[in-house]
Amino acid sequence: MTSRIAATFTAAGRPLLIPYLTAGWPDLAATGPLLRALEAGGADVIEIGVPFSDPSADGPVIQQANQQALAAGANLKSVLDAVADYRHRGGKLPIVLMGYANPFYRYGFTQLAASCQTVGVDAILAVDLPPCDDDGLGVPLGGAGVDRVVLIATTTPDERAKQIAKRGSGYIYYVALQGVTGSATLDPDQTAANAKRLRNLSDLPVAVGFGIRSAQDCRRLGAHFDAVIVGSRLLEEIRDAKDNAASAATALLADMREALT
Amino acid sequence: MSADNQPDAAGFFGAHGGVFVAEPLYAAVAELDKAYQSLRDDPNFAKEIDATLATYVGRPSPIYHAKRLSKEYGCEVYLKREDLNHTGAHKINNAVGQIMLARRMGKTRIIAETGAGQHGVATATVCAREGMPCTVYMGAEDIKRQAQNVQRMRLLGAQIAPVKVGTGTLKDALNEAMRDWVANVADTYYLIGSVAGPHPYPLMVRDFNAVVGRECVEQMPAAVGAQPDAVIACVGGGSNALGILHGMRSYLMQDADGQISGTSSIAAGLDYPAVGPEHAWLHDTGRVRYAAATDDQVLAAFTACSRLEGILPALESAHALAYVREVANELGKDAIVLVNLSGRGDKDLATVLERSDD
Repeated sequence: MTSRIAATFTAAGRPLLIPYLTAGWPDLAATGPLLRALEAGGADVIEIGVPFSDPSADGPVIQQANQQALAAGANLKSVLDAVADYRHRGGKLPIVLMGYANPFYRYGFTQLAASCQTVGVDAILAVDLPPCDDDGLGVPLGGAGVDRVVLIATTTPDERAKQIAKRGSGYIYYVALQGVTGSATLDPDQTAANAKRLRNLSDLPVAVGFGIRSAQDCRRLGAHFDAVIVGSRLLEEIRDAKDNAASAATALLADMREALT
Repeated sequence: MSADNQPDAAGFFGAHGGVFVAEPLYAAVAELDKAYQSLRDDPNFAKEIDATLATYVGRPSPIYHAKRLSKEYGCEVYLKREDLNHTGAHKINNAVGQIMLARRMGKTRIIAETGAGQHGVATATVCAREGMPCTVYMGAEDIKRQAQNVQRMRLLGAQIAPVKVGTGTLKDALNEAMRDWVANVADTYYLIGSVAGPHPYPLMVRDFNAVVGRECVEQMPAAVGAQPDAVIACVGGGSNALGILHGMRSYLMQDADGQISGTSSIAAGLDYPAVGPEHAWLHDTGRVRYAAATDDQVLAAFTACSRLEGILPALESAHALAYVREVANELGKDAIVLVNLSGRGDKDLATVLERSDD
């Protein structure tokens, strides 16, 4: 069966736009309106960040969002509820839950897969759970028809990248910057050169993320990748817009979406 | 059951350990593992470390029969005097080993995390000796309560990076050091000071500190005529709930949602929500018993050791001392109890004086 994510890539005929949003941030009530604002701005897939107390792969912007979301009472259960609500109100976009391993682990991987299937989460990306045969996550996700998005970095050797890709589905998240999220500006030309390497390693669609800040970045990277992911830049926009967060998010995405044709 | 065949090739001690890092760090951890495995049985590497430990650190550290503490606690108390090492704690043993590994790997910059500052001081010390730039991540809370060690690190030429996010303690310093490392993997070596983190760190830090135990095994029969009936040492956090943090799976202090709990300990060096994976395994197998000490028990042990033996123990080490009475009650007055006096207490004067005024 073709997953909703795979179908979205196939149907688009252009590079996809994938925003990342920390769930429960700035508060629990904000997530629903923000998801719809991203959809209105032209998002093709949404990555929802599950807040964690120790986000060691994230830069200051996403760290702060994680802390504030936890302070507001967010947890994995509330994230799943937010997705259920989004679906209940007719939201159709594929949803990826991206987070650190421990909240998923604590919830239980089998239970997680079942809950994803129930509420309509399409994929899991466990940041610090390197995919291997006995990691416990792949089997339950596969059984529930939930994709597993996998990370490949600039420093990942080819042989390892192949092994990771084999255990992934939906898409590969290519971490274009060697650093934490939002830490620097990407060199689009060099990143484009790396896209070729990944093409030879796997047939999965490749989404590029880390350091994408403008419509121009999207245009240049969209020429070489199947999707672009925007995270820290979007959270900055939401943070700074305060009461106008939803419309600011929509506007930023619409601008980026227009560059992806 | 021997610790010698643990961990397995993937870095697991039973169910604990492993490599749980985000993909951008994976290659750096793999590179480190490869480098360490190739040097682990190299006699020249061991020789270089041993020579440095002898002439620079002052090893072997003595074992001391604490007669007045023995009387106080009701058993024969012996102290392994790691407090007499250069820089005042056992942490230097590991720092010496890892800096030599870093140099052989061609790394030119060192980063470290520290809680009480003892590992930070040890790292700053070996970096000064090797002429390598050194950045030490330290929680803002810990900077306040371990001010003396902060000054020591600065005098040794290290740069202190205060960590204000999260709880401002050791776990947050580790997060921040990991963030630095991932951005600078090509030239930077991350010198972890505890038997924690992704494989091979728990193995490596254990190996470099195993010198303490090897010495004891030789020293006790010579000095006392017998091996000890019990050995007591201090270790940081943990609970009975498995989880994944800082590159490892082990017992963590966490809530029902898998969020890591803020911790509180009078000893900054033990103020950490996880326990190293080998400890978790030793707990599972029943080889080691893990017990807790309250701040008040620790302060009482600190005072006893200071007044009765003229030795100010680190508050971390005082946790081990605080358990001696318990062991004496169990094993009797002839029991030979060896306590690892892991560090000196000079760094803790402010904390102790503040609490004594209460």
